Amino acid sequence: MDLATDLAATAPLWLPMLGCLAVLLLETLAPGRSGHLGALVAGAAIALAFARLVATAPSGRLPFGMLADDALGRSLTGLLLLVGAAVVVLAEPLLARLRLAHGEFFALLLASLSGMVLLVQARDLMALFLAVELLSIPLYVLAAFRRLSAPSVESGFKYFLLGAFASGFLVYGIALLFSTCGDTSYAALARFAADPARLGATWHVGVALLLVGLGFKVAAAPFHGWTPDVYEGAPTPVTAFMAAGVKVAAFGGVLRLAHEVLPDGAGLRAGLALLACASMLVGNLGALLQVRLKRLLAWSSIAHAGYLLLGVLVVVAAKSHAGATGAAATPLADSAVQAVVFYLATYALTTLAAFGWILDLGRESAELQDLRALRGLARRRPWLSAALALCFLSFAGVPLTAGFLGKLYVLKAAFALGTELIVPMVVLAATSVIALGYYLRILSTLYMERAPDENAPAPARLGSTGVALLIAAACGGVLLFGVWPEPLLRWLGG
Amino acid sequence: MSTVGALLLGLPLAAATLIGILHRRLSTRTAGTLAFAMAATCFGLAVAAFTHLRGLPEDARHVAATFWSFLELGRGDAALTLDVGVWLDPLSVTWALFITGVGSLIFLYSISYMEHEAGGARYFACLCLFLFSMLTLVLGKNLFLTFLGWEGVGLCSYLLIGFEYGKETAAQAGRKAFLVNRIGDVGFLLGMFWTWKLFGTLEHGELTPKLAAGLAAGIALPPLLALCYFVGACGKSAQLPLFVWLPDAMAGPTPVSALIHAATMVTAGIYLLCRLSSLFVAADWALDVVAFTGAATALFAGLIALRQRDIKRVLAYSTVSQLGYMFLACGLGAFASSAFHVVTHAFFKALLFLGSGAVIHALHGEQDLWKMGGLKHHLPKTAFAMRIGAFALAGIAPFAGFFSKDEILGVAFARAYAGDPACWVLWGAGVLTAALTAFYSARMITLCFDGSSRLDAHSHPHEAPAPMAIPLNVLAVLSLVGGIGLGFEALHWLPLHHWLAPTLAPLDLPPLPGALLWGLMTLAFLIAVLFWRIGAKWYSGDCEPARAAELTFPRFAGALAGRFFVDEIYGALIVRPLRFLAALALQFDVRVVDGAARGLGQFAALVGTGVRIVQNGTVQRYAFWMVAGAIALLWLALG
Amino acid sequence: MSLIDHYQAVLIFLLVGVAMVVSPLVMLRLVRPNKPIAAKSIAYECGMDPVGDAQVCFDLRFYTDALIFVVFEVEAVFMFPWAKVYRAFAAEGMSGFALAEGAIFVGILALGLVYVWAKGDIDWVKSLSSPRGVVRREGVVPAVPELEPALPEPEPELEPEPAARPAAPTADERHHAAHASHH
Repeated sequence: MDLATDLAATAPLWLPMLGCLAVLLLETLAPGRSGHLGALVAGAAIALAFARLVATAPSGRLPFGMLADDALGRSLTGLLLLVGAAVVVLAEPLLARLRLAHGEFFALLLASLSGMVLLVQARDLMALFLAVELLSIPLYVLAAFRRLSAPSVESGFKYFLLGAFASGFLVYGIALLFSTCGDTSYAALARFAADPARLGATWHVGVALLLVGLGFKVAAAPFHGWTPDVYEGAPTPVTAFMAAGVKVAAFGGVLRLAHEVLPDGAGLRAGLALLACASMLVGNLGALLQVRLKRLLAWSSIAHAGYLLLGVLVVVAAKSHAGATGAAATPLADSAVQAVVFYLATYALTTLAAFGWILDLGRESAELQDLRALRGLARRRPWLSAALALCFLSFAGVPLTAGFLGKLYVLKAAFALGTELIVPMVVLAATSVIALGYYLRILSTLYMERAPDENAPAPARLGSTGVALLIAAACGGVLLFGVWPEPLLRWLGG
Repeated sequence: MSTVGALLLGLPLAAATLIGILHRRLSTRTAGTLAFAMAATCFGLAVAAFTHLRGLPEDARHVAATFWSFLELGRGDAALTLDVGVWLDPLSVTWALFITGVGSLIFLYSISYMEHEAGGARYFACLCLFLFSMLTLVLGKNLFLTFLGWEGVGLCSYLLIGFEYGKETAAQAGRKAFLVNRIGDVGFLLGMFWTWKLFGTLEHGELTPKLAAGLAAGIALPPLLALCYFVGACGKSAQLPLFVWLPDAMAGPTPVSALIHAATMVTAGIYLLCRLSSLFVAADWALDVVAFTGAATALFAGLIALRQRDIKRVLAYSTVSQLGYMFLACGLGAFASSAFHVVTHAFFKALLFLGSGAVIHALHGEQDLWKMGGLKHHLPKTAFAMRIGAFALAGIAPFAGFFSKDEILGVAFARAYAGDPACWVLWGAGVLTAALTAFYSARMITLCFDGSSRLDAHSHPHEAPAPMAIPLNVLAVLSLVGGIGLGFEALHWLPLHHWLAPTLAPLDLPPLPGALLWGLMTLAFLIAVLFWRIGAKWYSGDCEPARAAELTFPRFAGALAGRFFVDEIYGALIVRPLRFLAALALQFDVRVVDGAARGLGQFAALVGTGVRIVQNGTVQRYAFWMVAGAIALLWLALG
Repeated sequence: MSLIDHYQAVLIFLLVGVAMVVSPLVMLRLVRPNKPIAAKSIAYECGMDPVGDAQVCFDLRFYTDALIFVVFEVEAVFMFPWAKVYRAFAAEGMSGFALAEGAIFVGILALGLVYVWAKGDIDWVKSLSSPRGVVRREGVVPAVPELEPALPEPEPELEPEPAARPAAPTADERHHAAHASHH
């Protein structure tokens, strides 16, 4: 019996869940005093899961018949666990200062993290749906965790309403796919889809609805409406978790679907291209006039979803490029998958640094998170300014930052297909130029403008060593992987 | 060996980062000591690399180490892989040895020299960064890394020339150096693109074999390709017509002039020529261009050096002139002789600059030769060291410069002797320059150290402190023995040439008969001594013969003093038209480009506003767009 | 086989059900005294008059109780399919595994129940001053002096976009705000 093996292989999945239960139990035993303990338990659970992850090699088996134990799943799981740990580091000092230090925060965080891990490992539509719900529901609560802050509650409520709406699309799509193929496992779906003659309207509609549901999760336009409001209202660590974690997890799910299940086809290509182009355009144009950092990052995250969707499009299109159909993996598709994963890693890294920054100097205050508060900051906070400048250069994809290589690899994968995807590629190039408009505006605000009061003392910081270290580490990573991507590539390559 | 390579690049970078980060808190002495320790360690590492290579069989003396792959682009034949790594072979290690060796001496010297300057730690951070860039340039395993180092040294040169950025001249000189170098960089870049297109590689280790294979297969190598690199080399090594930045670069602190603008960075062009020697040899008439440019630069700069008042400008023009010799040697195909002159020049020119720095230091910033004189009584040690350096520069045996310069002249003579009439011109120009060199060296030494004092009355010059004296002494010894120790052609003692032979294109020239060699040597020696005597005589005492000569040829003397008005000519021919073009471009930019850009920007802003109107915060609206998106997807899926 | 054969079990179930509702009513009608008064016919179970406008103020306590009830009831439904496949698992010699899975599920549910219990969410009258309810006061009663001028709570918001705001504070929030002002 493989139960023990399966359990061992899925430790990164259930260890956070176990941590979640432990925190709840703590909260029950010592109500109101489990805040710091919760952070400790969460950190320990994540660290254990990570240790288990790196201690074992992917077996290629299918634990419980529904999950994948492969390189893709593992590298994304590792990434998610790191994001989770970073969010613990961000959240702990903030909750303490808000006097909101409840174990529940970490329990919810761990539950959601568990859902994320499940999402990137799911090889069955049922597991996929379960994962999406498991990751979403705690997030709704987390977004509204500051119960007395109207924007926070608004954020949680909006996210919940629209998320429930999107889940409807998702489950409907799953039902249609099940009805046409009679199975929900990816392997069976791929076998079914190998014969294009069998793919009727039900299949296509099912796939389209699936895309709607997952498109909502990755914040792709036009399913992006919630993003700016929710990003802004939610507590910053939660926003960081949404921006980095959900993006990685949802794209992990989409990537696996695209790689293993979805056959290439004109309709799918057009749909993905539409989402990608719309996201790039809407995201970048929406960010252009933003003056508030968190909203700006929300729009930019929509734009990044567009860039990433181009990578997914390449994964799908590469299948028929080499003449192979179905789930036959071609080197092109593999390299596109790797490009998207690398992009996700660099995006997560930069996002964590940026939100860490916002937490550190913005201290959850709307005025401090306003772009106007950053005028001439470089003179008084040179290191922090350099860190933020680095983040935005990386978001913009300037060479010698990790973001540049991420974009480069995605474009490179697209170029490998010749001119088949020329339209989204052109849109990517054009919108990247638009993006420079607002990324560089931040740099000029930091470095060229003058503060209204030159003699004012340097703005205060949150004063948490953990947060400062996190920013430093993430920025260091952005720089390091920008010139030396090999270790990251190797790690992500499995 | 890869550890040694990594450390050679990593240590200077680490030191630059550390000092750069802490430059406000570190004292000049601490930063300088740290930097010097780093440079000395690097020299030790370079020696280690040297002994390692020595231990290898002659045809396998190279070590490649790849640290990581920076970029991999394209597929199949068109794949471009840019690795970060080092390439250790006799050529690169030779350069690394004298860069780190002379470099550590100058670092040591700088500790005292910069002690009383503001921002000393910043100075050392730049110096460490320079060392890193220079070693990247030399040790980088492909042309891409060499180019990165090339740009890096340009940046450091800019930063250090403009070190006293408060001074308008310094800031302008920095800008000038940067702009002129850009022209050269374009050449380098174009050459790199072209090379990659032709041979599909930029790796130092692969280029020569691929070139040989390509030539064997009948590819015609365009001479223009070699000329692209030559333009790059001209910019960095201050050859005609791009030499104008180097004299102005003397606005930087004197140790910087010694390290960057005399000993190391300006020889990067020679390094490039040597590195690509097989390419240049194969590129038809490209080498002739190199040779004639070199000879013309040597002569031209030698003439200008005759009448400069500023001691550092004399040295700067003499550097340009000596670099011309090196180009001449490359152009004649004698790459090893060129490298030989690079090494000896590094010794004696660093010595001269450091000595002049000691003088300037002693005189509290006075650089005008006409306000010196009689300093040998105040600064006997410096005077002695400077005299050795000047003898080496003038090419007086047995000092270092004699052997390397004589060898270059010998090659030019041998080519002419072998039946190439144009080489008589080159040889003539070389001999004439040698005479000029001896003359202005003598003039400089005489004006500075001999005769009666023309100092301000209240000036009390004092000898330099020990950290400044030690490098002077070491370099003086090297200027004395560095030539004969590395090569004496007439005695068939050519260790440097044999060492470099595997990496350079061989010289296809029958050796001259021994008697002729000895004869040429004697001739060169006599010319140098004679013109030294003349120079010393003219400028001793009240300089009567010099004044008489000036009065006899007033216009020529004026042209010399005015540096042949090259800056003014450039101003009229290039800068003014460019200004006009710039004004036109500005109008175009303001009216057309800005208009379009602003229009585009406004359009984008308009769309942004539109997006924000859609984004009005109501959940129902968001849901509406979701449904609209879903319908679009369904339509696409079914359509 | 006729339709009746297929559905006879359902039919019997239906009949028994109807009988179980009807028979007590009939029996009571026969034995009980009949003295109708007005108080006897008002709604008492939910404490609210079912007649009139639906937009009235509910007591929030119904909400938490109903929520908890629904959660546990829905979760309990999952026990039925588990019971159904248990035999199949047992046939494959995996009864221990199936039992453990069921136990874990029930265990997690039980933990949830303990949690709400410990939090006092199933007490009808939940005291804010009781130790169990202390967590409810976070952010309202500053236990430590404020740090820098950071983290105002609730914070003033500058909305450049006409984002929808919650119409009015909920009763719960009003309650807390009032509570805060007392301190």
